[in-house]
Amino acid sequence: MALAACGGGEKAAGGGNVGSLTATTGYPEPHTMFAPGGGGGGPGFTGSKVLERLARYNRDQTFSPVLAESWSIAPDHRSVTLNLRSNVTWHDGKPFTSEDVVWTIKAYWKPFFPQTILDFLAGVEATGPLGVVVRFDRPVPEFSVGYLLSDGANYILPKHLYAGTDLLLNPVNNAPVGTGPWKFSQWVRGSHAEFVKNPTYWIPGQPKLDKLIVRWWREPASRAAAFETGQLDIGVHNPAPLGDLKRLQANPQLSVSFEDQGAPLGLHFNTRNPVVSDPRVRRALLHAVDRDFISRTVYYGYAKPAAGPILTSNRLYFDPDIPKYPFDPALADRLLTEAGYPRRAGAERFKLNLLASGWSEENGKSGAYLKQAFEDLGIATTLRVPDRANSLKALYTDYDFDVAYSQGGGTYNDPIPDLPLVFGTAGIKKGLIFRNSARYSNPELDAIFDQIKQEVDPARRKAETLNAARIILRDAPIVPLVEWPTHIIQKTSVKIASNAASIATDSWGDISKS
Amino acid sequence: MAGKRTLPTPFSDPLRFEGATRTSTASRGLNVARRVGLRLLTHVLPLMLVIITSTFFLIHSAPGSFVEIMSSEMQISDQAMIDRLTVTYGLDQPLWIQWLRYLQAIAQFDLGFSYRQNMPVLEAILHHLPATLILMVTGLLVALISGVAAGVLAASRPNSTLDRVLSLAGVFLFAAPGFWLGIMLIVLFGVVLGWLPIGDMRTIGGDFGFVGGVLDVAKHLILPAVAMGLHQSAIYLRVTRAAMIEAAAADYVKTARAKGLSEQAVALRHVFRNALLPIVTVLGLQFATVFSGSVVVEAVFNWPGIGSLLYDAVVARDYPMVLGVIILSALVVILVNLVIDALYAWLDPRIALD
Repeated sequence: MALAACGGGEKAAGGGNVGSLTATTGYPEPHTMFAPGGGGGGPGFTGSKVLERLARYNRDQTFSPVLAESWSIAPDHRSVTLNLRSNVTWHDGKPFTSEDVVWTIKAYWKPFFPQTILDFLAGVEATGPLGVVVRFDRPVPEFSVGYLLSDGANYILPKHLYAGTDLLLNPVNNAPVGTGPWKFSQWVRGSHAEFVKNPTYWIPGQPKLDKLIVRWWREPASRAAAFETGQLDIGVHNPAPLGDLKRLQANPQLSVSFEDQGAPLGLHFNTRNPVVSDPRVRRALLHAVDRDFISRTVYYGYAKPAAGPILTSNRLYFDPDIPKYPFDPALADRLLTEAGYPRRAGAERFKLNLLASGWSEENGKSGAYLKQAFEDLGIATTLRVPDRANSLKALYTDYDFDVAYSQGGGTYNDPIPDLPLVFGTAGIKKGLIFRNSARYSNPELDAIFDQIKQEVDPARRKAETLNAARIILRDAPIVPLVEWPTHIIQKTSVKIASNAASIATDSWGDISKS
Repeated sequence: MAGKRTLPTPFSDPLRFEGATRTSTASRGLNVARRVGLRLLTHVLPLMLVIITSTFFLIHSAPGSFVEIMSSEMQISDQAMIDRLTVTYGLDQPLWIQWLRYLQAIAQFDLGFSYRQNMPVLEAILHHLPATLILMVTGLLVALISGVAAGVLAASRPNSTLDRVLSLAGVFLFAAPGFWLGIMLIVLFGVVLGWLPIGDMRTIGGDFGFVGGVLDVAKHLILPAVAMGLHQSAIYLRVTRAAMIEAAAADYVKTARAKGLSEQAVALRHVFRNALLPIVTVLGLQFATVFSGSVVVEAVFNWPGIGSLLYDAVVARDYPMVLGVIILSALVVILVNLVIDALYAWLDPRIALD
């Protein structure tokens, strides 16, 4: 009996979709349920079940309304009017109003989300209890507006709990209060968190289940087995080791799916170090790498070779004709010789300090391959694979690497804000993770980014974006080698109706179980 | 080792354990209490000081500070905020001052506050300790019972096929990494047969009342305890076998046989009882190994114990928590060894008379 209850599965009298859902994630337990600014996949998963955004970004690159019933952009593209949903209440019973939205945009979004159209923010005013006008100094593109309303951690926070506090250290982050389908119930640290149905949720009939349990499982191999025993209903963010995926795919009780948005993983070059500061050396190293090999062996064929900062999965901007770095050791050899590093008998061309960020096993394996590929070229390479904490510190605080294999360096939708944060001069911020690790700075590119931010014409935006991509590929400060779509494992009895681009960070009010 | 064990210990009075002639006079009780106190003062305190000091400096020499990790996780880049956190956690002081402060706090039973767990370190440890103790004690029992039984069997016919098979099995279990054994058990009993749950200590979200709750924990306990126990049992097998064979050659065994006792009676009453001493020695030593081994087993089985707590703390560079867990673990191991010393005296009264 106890076993039957393990995976949820209890049906109330009358049947239907009553019961609980046990979910897990490939990320470790977060430090807090909701982290202002995002804080990575851990808090991104738990926070998104409780807090809601104004809109949702869909798989087909459209936006649909959530807390904003509708929004409209003025003809001059300098202001946006938001019409908020009525009869929405916070989990503590207080009504949701335009006050919350005005405060959130000013006190949360503006300081936490740089390189977005908020750089041009002129003012935010409430026009009534459910109306808000956001004004900008410069014209803002339609897509950027939608994206601002729907991106990752751009939730609306309850003003009455956050106003006047230090957002990052506010204890409410550990027990978030939102408007979403799931109410935070309890967090047993080191084990799991429980969320219960929000009985007054604004979508009638949602959530379709009574309880959501998020469990953290430290060991990936036993986590994979827990799907087979039925202890877990659904897992997001690569919950199983890739070697186990084929077995799980063959299991008739389980279904494995892939999010469209493949995570870019590739080479980060420290542009302030003497040898790799030369773009010719960077290009040579890129030609020395067989991306197909990495995709096939390290990622068991679940990853595919990347083309550049505009990911191949990017349906808005990807251009298959973009220049690439094909695997060509002979060309790499010639480029290195031209750069002043000829192959010398019995001695190395130069020494290379290679770092592979240690938060996934695959990064370490790719690092081992890269070391071999570089050594075949006569480069003395030392490989380090530090743990997560030290990898982040080496990459984003100490800049202690010549070349690093890590994630970042591409976008699967709009270039704003990701590309300026990773490739722009404004992205060089010591201590901030997933920014410009290469410390690459190019005023020409910065100017193009600035142009894209305010270019409202879609065709011209696309041209500018491709122009930026070409410059980035030419200078090669950070170049993705592979795109790795994250997988989701779920029981076949679990149904997801949502069309959200990221299932993992959707609110999950519509998940049902049969 | 043997020399240390023959020192008089506060518990080494055979009367205390045999109980037959024990008279509870006030002077006698006072005497025992004084000896316990003396031992704590001369042995346990200096040892704890050494452990605390070495752990403190070791963890602070590891790269990546707690504030750095916290700020990268929380996306804090504001130097003013980082400075404030550094001061809040006392990390701006020279290391030796931090060390003195830490000692001072520990003297007041204050292990500090864990930012990661969002509660005092002591509270978090006490919260996780029962889970680990249940797992350890069960695991040790599995190891002891299976190992000793196999050892007795193997020693009954040295160099027979049975002996070889058992020894081979023992070597295999000992050589197999703990996590691998755990995963194999998960695959067999959890996935293929579907008999047992493979992770956590309780059914999350379940409510079965008291009896049902105990059964629920027991069901979750089987696989991790067996994984932990089988790995350890090989040691008891080897020690028991060797001690049995050695004791079997003693004169009193010949006497017992000459008396006409059955082989079974000789083995259990004369040989096994004398072979117990090395087994208990190993038990004391292994206790520490089991404690550290629980980190791996707990990670594989998602067991919410001290091992998981320590693992999470190391990953997050949660210094107060890491130190707290290590200090408390050391204390548990030391106390267990005190008890083992007492067991010695009970098993072999000659040690007490030394």
